[in-house]
Amino acid sequence: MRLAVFFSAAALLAGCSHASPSTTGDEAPVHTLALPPDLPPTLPEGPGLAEVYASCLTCHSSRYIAMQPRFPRKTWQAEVSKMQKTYGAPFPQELAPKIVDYLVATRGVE
Amino acid sequence: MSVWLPRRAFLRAAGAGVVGAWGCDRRAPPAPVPGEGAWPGKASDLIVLTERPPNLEMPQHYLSHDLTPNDAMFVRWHVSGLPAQVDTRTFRLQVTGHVERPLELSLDELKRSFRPASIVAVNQCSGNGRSTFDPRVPGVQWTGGAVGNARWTGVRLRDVLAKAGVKAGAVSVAVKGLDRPPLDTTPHFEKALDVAQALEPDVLVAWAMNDAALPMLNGFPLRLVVPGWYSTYWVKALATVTVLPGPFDGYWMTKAYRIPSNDGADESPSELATDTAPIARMNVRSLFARPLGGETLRRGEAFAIEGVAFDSGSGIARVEVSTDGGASFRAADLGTDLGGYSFRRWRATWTPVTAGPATLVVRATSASGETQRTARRWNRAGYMKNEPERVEVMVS
Repeated sequence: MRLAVFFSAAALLAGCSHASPSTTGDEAPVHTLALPPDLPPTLPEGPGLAEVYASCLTCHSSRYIAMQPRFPRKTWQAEVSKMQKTYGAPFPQELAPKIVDYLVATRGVE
Repeated sequence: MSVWLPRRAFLRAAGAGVVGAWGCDRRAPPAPVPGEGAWPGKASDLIVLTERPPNLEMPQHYLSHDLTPNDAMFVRWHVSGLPAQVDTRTFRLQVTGHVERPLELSLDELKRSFRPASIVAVNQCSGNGRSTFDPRVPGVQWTGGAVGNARWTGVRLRDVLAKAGVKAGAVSVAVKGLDRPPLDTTPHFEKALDVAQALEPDVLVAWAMNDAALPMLNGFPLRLVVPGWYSTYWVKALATVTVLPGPFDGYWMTKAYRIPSNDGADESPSELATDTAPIARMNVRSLFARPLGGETLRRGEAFAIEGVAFDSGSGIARVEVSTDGGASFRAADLGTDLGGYSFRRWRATWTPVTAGPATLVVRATSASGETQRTARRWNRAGYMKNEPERVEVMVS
């Protein structure tokens, strides 16, 4: 019984404390979203880092790379290929092996 | 109608501290960074997995709520051109394609022309728990906080489709938001439901989350809500609904968000499944709110182990907790039932008697009889994790 009361009170609190008085009323008509700038890059130094910066960061922050665990070369190759072929990353084909080498050197397992 | 965020320089002068991710995951992603209040409408303790596009994970302690606070609901965007501005006076929801009467509905029309509906439902990313896959797989490295529960309010998609008049022979319904890829060559994030699924009464075009307007980062002004289904279908900043006389052939259905076509959505790295299907309904899960991994519990003192469980709509029949690493289980008490699609909170009190490390395990059974399987699942995209969660604590 005590447990049920605990849960019910919590449910009420959770439901009410975050409700605003109106969802359709006199709120400002224009809603804006100002996102913070990218965090400082966390990619380690290494051959190919400049190519990574030049080729990858148009579409996503460096943290997208830094977040990944270590992968074997074939996984990094597939990722770089996917960025080119599926997402249309416009970097020259000859940069792809350099980018893969950088990723294997810094986030790779052999 | 709306404008998009321009590409931004990737350097920033701000310093960054380090916080722990979910304590129960010892292989958490590197250096998650606190939001520092920088994310509009979001709590400062959300874990920033990536900042462009934004992917923000909810810390574990928020699972102590039945309804996830709006500022704690996780954030996941696929392409970096988020809508920077929405003018509610000029925004229109377009309903087009294989329909008798294409519609352009203002927000006021949407709210006035249809009967509103509300439902409490879990919003969970397909890859929630991806970082625990072994071997690891590429993608946003969610630990366990790409999930939340809310009361969604809007109108039924089927009512909107009825007003437009779905023509005979309709097969699928594509849904697209205001977000745009940074390059023209990148596929727009667009998803699709089979017509039968789109006409289910639970599927909503929602404008409110927990009775407040959707935060921009969670899809203001409208978001599709597909209860029981992974949130990849819950398209944010929903602006275009296109009824199609055939299957939708966009990238995000035909290439991405696919699972092996077998009961367990399983495959192995050396033998990838050749037969795959779009991910669909969620499987049953239970998650710890407390204790956190590595937490110290006092011998002889009662501790309330708490968390949530959910499935794809039947509801939760039973939650069992083990304090001996899974050797034995006992039933947890269940909290308020907010509906089959909702989180169901659970709690079990434990008074540790022996000092030393202990492993807690939780598992749930749905009302339809589905259980969490103990064998570890693996698939190349890191989807549908649901083995029983474990948390290591110290008793002193």
